[in-house]
Amino acid sequence: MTPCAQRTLIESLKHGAMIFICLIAPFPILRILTQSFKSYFDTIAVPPKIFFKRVLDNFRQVLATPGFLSSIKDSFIMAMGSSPLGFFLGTPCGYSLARLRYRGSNSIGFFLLVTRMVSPIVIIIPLNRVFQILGLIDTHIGLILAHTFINIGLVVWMMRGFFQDIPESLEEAARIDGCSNIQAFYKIALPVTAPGLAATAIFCFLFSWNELMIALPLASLNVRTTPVFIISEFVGYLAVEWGLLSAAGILTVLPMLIFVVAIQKNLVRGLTMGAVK
Amino acid sequence: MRFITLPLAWPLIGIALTFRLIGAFRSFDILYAVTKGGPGRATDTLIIQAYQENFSHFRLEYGLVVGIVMMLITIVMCVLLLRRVTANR
Repeated sequence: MTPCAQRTLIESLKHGAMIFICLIAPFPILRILTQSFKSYFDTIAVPPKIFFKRVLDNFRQVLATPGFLSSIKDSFIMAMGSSPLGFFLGTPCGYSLARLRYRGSNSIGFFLLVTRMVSPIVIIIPLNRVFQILGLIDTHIGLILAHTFINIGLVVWMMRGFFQDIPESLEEAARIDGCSNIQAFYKIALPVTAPGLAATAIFCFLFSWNELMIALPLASLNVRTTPVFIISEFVGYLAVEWGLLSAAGILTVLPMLIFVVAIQKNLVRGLTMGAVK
Repeated sequence: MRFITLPLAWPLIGIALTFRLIGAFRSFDILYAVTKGGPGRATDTLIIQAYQENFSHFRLEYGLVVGIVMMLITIVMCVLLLRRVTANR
């Protein structure tokens, strides 16, 4: 084999592997999409049917299920409440960690990273007890606070990366022109990191939207976020309603999917901006 | 590839691996949605077990102990991760 032919072979193998991965990655979504259009007996057929009669019954039934729409509303309130709150608290903290050197700044950063990395079960058991005493269980405020607690770690670490990216001389120039430290922060540093802000906000939003574990013990009747609702409603003791489950899943994913695809360019730019040091 | 790219990429691969390790360690929602640790306790992970003991059987102390153990393990992993990230910079 000539070196040239060998190189073509290696290249084509590489591309083959990439195409293979690209085909596998969306498979779960494809599966759930097809499942949601099947009638009940088609969903549990073994082997799964590729050609089937498409019906819209699942979607109709899910939308008619009492509580589904209100659970979407609850999810929305949760996400809209907790991401701005996490933002207001987290961004200044990220800025201070990026710019200022003070005693314990590393430990604070580390502690916030741990809150993000540690399994939610560690947080949720004591939190459940505390919320019981405070009467915050099963309320919007309680869930927003719990989600904010997790979101802050993300915000601080992402924003710290973004702030480290912008040259410090920008703010120095602002200070020479008469800005105070705080003015330099919100007049200069914040607008410059706008794409980063957007990316972080979206991540917070997605986290709140998808979060199951924290919402599960803290929400029961008055407030039910969509994942909690889906799990408790369509997964029965004896049978799993695959069609309804898939339809509900599609309906939950759809708004986020459209949202993320629409702003994908910004998102990727914001992400790489934080990653490349 | 083998002598240039991989050695340069090793630190990043290490970070990604540690990240995934922590992620898998704390994963809950998929496991809970799919099997809830069942059938029996065949697919029980630490976190599912802690959740069940705490919220279904109301053995608060068990859940708390598991929580603390998990926190310690995660802190150790975080230290490793951070050391790598900072060494890399």
